Amino acid sequence: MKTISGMVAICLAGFAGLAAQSLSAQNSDPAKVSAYLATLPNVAVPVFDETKQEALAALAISCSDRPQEAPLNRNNYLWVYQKSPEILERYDRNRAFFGCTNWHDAAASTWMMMSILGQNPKIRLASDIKDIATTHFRKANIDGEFDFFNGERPEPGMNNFERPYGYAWLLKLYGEAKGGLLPDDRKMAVALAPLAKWMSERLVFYFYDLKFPYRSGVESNTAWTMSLVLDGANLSENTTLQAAVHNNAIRLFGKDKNCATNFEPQNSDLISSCLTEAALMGRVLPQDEYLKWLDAYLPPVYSDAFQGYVKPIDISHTNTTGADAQIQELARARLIALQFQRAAGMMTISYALPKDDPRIAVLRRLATMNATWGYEKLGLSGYEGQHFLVTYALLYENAAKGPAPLAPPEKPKGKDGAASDTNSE
Amino acid sequence: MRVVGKMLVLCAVCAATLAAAQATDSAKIADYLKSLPTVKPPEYNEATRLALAANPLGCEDHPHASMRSSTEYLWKRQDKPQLAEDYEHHRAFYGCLDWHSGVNSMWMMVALIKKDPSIAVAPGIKNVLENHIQKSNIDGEMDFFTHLHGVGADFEKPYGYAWLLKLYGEIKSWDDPEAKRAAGALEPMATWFAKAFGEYLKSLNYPVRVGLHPNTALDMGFVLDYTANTRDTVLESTIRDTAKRLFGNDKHCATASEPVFADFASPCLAEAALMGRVLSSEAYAKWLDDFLPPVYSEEFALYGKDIDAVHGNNRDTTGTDEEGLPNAHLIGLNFQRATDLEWIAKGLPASDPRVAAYRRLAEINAKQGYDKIGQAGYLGTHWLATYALMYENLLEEGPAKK
Repeated sequence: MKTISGMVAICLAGFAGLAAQSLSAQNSDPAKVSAYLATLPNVAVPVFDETKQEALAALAISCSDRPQEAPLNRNNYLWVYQKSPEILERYDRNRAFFGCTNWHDAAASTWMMMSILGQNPKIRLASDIKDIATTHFRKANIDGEFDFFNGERPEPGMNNFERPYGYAWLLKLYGEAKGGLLPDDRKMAVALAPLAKWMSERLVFYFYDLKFPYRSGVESNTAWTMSLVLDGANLSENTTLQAAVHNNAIRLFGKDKNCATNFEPQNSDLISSCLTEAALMGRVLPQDEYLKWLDAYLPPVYSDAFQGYVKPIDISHTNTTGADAQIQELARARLIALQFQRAAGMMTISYALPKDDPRIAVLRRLATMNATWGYEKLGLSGYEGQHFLVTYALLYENAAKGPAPLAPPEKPKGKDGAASDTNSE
Repeated sequence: MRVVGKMLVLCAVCAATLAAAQATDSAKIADYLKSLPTVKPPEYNEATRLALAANPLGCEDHPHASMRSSTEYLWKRQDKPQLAEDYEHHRAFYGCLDWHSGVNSMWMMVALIKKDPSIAVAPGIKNVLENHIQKSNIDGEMDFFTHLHGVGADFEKPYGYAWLLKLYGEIKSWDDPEAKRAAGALEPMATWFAKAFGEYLKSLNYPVRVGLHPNTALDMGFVLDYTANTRDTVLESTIRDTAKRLFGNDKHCATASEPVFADFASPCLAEAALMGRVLSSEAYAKWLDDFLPPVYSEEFALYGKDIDAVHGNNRDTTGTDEEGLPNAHLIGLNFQRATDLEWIAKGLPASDPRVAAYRRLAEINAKQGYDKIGQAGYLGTHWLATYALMYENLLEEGPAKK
């Protein structure tokens, strides 16, 4: 008897260990999920009104015409240029995405302004947004972009400029413009069409060629790139690109298990590797398959391994007093963006679950909490944050509204169409 | 009785799982050890040392190539870059492809002749040391580093910084007239880099875990070699505090997802190696139980398997020069794993049954590294000998006390 009770004791200890280690491979327990929800604070959903829209748009507007810095001469340890680099002549006529620190953030900022304009065409900053949509996207600007990307490079490795993250943003921008209802959307879609086609073709090959996904929480993250691309491909009805995302997401992620949520984030992250992959798979797998996959992939919301998502991301160690202030500030901005990125991922996962799944309420509560922590820190990162952080805030706001559309909305049908006057200017 | 019976069945399942979190299943560890091949890495004799030394000697005076020009999306270069005039008098680490490899190759050569002063290449190595580490060279380095700013301010931080400190520690603790001279010349850099490295660690909100240069655990390990050799107790305690802050509560490292792409360090093993150096044996044995899967588990098996260095990446440009050549990083990874496994073994109490298994796996990895060491062209030869020597030196130290 002593032996047996000893074994039972071991058994309990062992079972506790098992529970901690691999409940992720178990069906999440609905009763525990509900009990867990009751322990979470009741946080008000951040208000997203016109003031908030203007605050976000203002930052994108202000960086769009601020040219990217000259490239740093990283060679000057041993190799020296005698002359300084010169900014391209008439760059504002021959380039479209020359602001906001770098190409992909310029594309993301353009997306953000267009998205806000689409949601609120009467926003007071509408004329500023339209001004950028006009002056950056004349035929000459777009021809210049196209020639730059399509041009010869001295070395083959340089053909990777902005692939995949910049391509992904461009395709999201293009898709939403193409599916948009405003005249400005239509103009933007026409302007971007050649570049979007060029990038889409290359990204399709890129996805099929990947032997492994990029998993770290930085721009090259494959699941994140695919998520942005899918937003665009659905709205532009680009079936080749949709298929490339679907097929390769399943090929690269279909067998993944036990995501190491407990090792997030890293100091340079702006993307949650685990949540992003889970959000993407919720959009490409049928629901019954997804539920199985998700059970094996993410730990239950109430488990220890999930609790890293339930507290504000620590930015208290960042030190901007040294010579590397700019780098430190950027790293901090990325960690702030990560709060919104997590929030958006949680909302997206929640849309993939059956309506009665108790995890929905938990994920949405946690999304609200993460977004709130993000907004609390929005102003803390200077220009390094301004130039891209707000795009992540809007990604969350859009995700909070509902699932990303699977197809473009029906266009107004002319004068006698039912929807014809709802979007007229 | 039925209940008890059921519990016993459960118990069998539990026991297996329980063992997963315990070090004590000596029988399983012994079985696993038996299942591993006994391998013989090349004997570490003078011939091996000479072969290794040829690599840093051959690259230390071979200047870094000019890096690729920018893509010129918005800014146009007006001219081509030129080698800095008189660079061999104003730079110290201009060879071996990049700055950190210039530094770690110097460390490799110093460490080699420090242990084996009569090796045939010793005079040649002393000559390199004398040429590269003069006051004017170090003044030039300091001038360069103290003027870095903006988005370029992190040039070689943290990996190159860690290597500079490791090099300085090696020289500083070498009882030799040339070493004394070189240590004096290098000292201003060491002082500046030690302060900057400590500030960097304190500024980390979270660790960097990728198996590449900025890996926080890997870099802290290099700097612990410096603090041990110089008695820099300030930086040593910063490292201990940072290690405990960033890694102390880590559990269940995702070994199964290693290696990725062009890794040259194992994130799980590097962290485990570091913690073995900052925790007491008892505390470490416990921490390790939660952190690494048991040596005989499926999740650990990858460390005994060969690394496919030819196909192991996404055509990253970080380590593969030409299509068909093995990825140099994935060859270095074998040596890095071997070194880490040795450190982990050293961190445990001598009686721990895992020690023998970790050591065997270290040998298996070292053997694989040596099998492929010459196959990656200059992308391998400019640094792989350094990683091989780190393993050999650690092995020679024997079961060191902390």
